[in-house]
Amino acid sequence: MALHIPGTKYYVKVERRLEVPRMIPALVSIVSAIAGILLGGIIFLAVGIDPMEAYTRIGRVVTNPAFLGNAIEVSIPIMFTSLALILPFRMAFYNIGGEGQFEIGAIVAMIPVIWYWAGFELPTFIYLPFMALLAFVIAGLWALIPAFLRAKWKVNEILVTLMMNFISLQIIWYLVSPGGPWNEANPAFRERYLAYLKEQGVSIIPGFKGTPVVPEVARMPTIPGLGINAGLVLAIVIAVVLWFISSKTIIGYEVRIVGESEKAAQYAGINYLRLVLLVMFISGGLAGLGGFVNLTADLLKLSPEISTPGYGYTGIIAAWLSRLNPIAALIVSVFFGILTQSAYIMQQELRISHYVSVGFEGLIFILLVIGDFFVYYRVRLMKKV
Amino acid sequence: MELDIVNLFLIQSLTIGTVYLIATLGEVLSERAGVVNLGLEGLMEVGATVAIIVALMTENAWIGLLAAFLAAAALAAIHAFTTVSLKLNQFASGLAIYIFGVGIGVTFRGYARDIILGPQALLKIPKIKAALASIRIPGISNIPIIGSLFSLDAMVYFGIFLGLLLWFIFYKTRIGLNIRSVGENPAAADAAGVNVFRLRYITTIIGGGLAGVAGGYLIIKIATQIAGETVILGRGWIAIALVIFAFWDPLRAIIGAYLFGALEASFYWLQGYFGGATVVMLKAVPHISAIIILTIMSIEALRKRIGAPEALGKPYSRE
Repeated sequence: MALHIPGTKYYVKVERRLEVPRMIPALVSIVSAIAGILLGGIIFLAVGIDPMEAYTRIGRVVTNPAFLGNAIEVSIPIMFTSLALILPFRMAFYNIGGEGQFEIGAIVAMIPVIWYWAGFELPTFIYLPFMALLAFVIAGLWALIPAFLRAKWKVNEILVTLMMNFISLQIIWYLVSPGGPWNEANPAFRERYLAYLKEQGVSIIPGFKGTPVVPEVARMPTIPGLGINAGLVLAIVIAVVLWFISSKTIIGYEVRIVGESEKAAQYAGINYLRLVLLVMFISGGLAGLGGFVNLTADLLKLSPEISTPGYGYTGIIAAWLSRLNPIAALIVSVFFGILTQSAYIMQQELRISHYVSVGFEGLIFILLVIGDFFVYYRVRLMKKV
Repeated sequence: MELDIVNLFLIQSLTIGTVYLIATLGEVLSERAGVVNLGLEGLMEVGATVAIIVALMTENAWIGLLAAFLAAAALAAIHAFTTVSLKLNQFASGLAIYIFGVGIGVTFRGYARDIILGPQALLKIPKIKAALASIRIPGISNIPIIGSLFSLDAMVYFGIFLGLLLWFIFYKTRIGLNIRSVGENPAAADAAGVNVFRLRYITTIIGGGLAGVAGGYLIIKIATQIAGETVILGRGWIAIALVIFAFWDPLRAIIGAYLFGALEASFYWLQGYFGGATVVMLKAVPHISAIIILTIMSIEALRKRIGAPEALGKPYSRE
C-alpha cells in the first residue's frame, strides 16, 4: 500500500513484515510508555492542572529514595499479577481474572489469621508458608473454572474471568461487613483480639468493614537494609522460574504452539484441556500469591479496599507492555508502581482522583495496541522517482 | 395514589433493564458487522460522566444524553481505527478502551463535581432527574401489572423502539443485509460491492455511542451518587454477555436485558428479608447467572452449530 503525501514528492509505503526484528516490539513498548505519559499531560490540562505540576510529582517519586521505596513496594503486587499472565497470554488464553485470583489468594491466606484470633494457634514458623500454600492452591483452583469452561465448551474466557472478579469481591464484602463472619467485631474474636487492641491502645471501629489485623507472626518480613518486603525476592524467583519454564521446557514449547494456532497444536497431538488447566492453575496461583503478599506486607487487614488499586487490571497492561517476557515484566511493574505512587501523591496535593493513574494506564495500553501496527507492518517514507 | 408492590417491581426491572438493553443493542450492532468491542464498560463510564456534567451545565437531561452519545462514539472511533483500519487485536484494543474509559471517566467526574460544577450544581440534580421521570397515565397506571407498562419514562420506550428498529434494519432492509454479510463473510460482501470498512466504522461508532447513552441514563436515572467511584459496576460486561445470550438477535436482547433488570431490582426487595452481611452476597447473583447463561449458550452453540457471526473478531484486509 502506498499513500502519497499531497504537495510533496514523497509517499508513505506500508508493507507487511515477513519477519519481525527482535528489537521492534521492545522499542514500541518503550515509545508507548513515554508517549502515554506525555499525552497524558492533556488529561491534566483538561482538568486545569499544569502538566508540569503532575510531572514533578512523578519526578519526586523517582528521585526521593523514600518515595521510590514506596513505589517499589506498590509494584510488588503488580509483579505477581503480571507474571501470572505470561503463560496464559502466550497461549492466547485471555485471563482477565487476575484481580479476582489475587483477592481469593488474600481471602484464603486470612484463614489461619482468623483461627489465630479465635484461639487456635499454629507453630510460629508454619504461618507464612502455610498461608502462601493456601493462597496458591485455592486461587489456582478458582482459575480452573474459566479454564475448564473454555476448554470443554468454548465458553468465552474473557467474560467468565471478568465476571468472577465481581464474585470474589462480593465474597470479601460478605465476610467482612458488619455482622459478617470475619468482621473484627465478631464475638468469636473478642477475648484475644480485644486484649490485643487494648495493648495497642486502639479500639474496634463500629461499622468497620474489615477483619482483625494480621498478627506479627504472620507478617511478611522486610529485606534487611532495603526496608522493602520480602515478596520482592519471591517475585524475582518466580520470574526466573517462569523464564525457565517458557524457554526450556516442553510446557513452554506447547504453550507457544497453542498460542500460534490452536488447530496446529491439535494436529501436533497437544492435549489442550490438560495444558490450559495446568497453565491456569499456575496463573491463578501466582496471582493468589500476590494477594497473600499484599495482605501480609501492606494491608494487614482484609477489606474491600484490596480492590481499590486494581492491581489485577494493571497486571494485564504490564504483561502486555513486557511482551510476555518475565524479566521485563518486573521492570514494567516498577514503572507502574511509580505511576500509581505518583497518582496517590497527586490525589493528596492536586485534588485529583487517583483514578487518573488508571486513565494513564489505559492511554499507554491504547498507544501500545496502536504501536503494534509498526510491529506487523513496515512503514517507510519514499521519494518518488 | 400509591403503586402496588408488583407494579413498582416491574417498573424498576424495566428501568434497570433499559440500561442493559441500550448497551447490549449497541454491542449487537457492532458485533453483527464483525467487531467485538470489549470497551463497553469504559464507554458507559465516559457516557455517565459526560451526561451528568453536560446535563447539569445545561440543566437539560436530553442534551446530556446526546453529549454522552457523542463522547462515547468518539472513543469507539479509536477502537474502529485500531481494529478496522490497522487490523489489530480487537480484544486488546477493547480492553485498552475499557481501562482508559473507566480511569478518565471517574477522574473527570470527581473533578467536575468538586471544581467545575461546585455544590450549587448538585441542587439541580432533582431537576434533571425530572426529565426522566415516569410518565403516568391517570387511571391506567394504577391497574395491577398492566399499569406498570404505562408508568415508565421515555428512555424505556426508546429502548424497546431501538430493539424493534434494529431487528427491522437487520432483517428487512438492504443496509441490514449488508451489515450481516460483512459480519459473516466480508470478502464476499466486498466482492458484491459493499464497503466493508465504512460499514464497520459506522456500526462500531454508533454501537459505542449507544453504550454512552446507557451510561448516561444510568447515572441520571438510577445512580444515587455521582462521583468518587465507578458507577457502571460491571454492567457493561454483563451487557457483552447478554449479546451472546441473545444470539446477536435484537428481540432476544430485549428479553435478556429485562431479565437482568429484574434480577437487579429484586435485591432492593430481598434486602428487607436477608439480614446484614448475607445481602451483599446477592449482588454477585447477576455475575454468577451470567457465567451459567454463557455456559449454557456455548453448549447450545456447539450442539446446534450456531453462534457468533462467522467473521466476528477477525480483521478484514483486501489482500
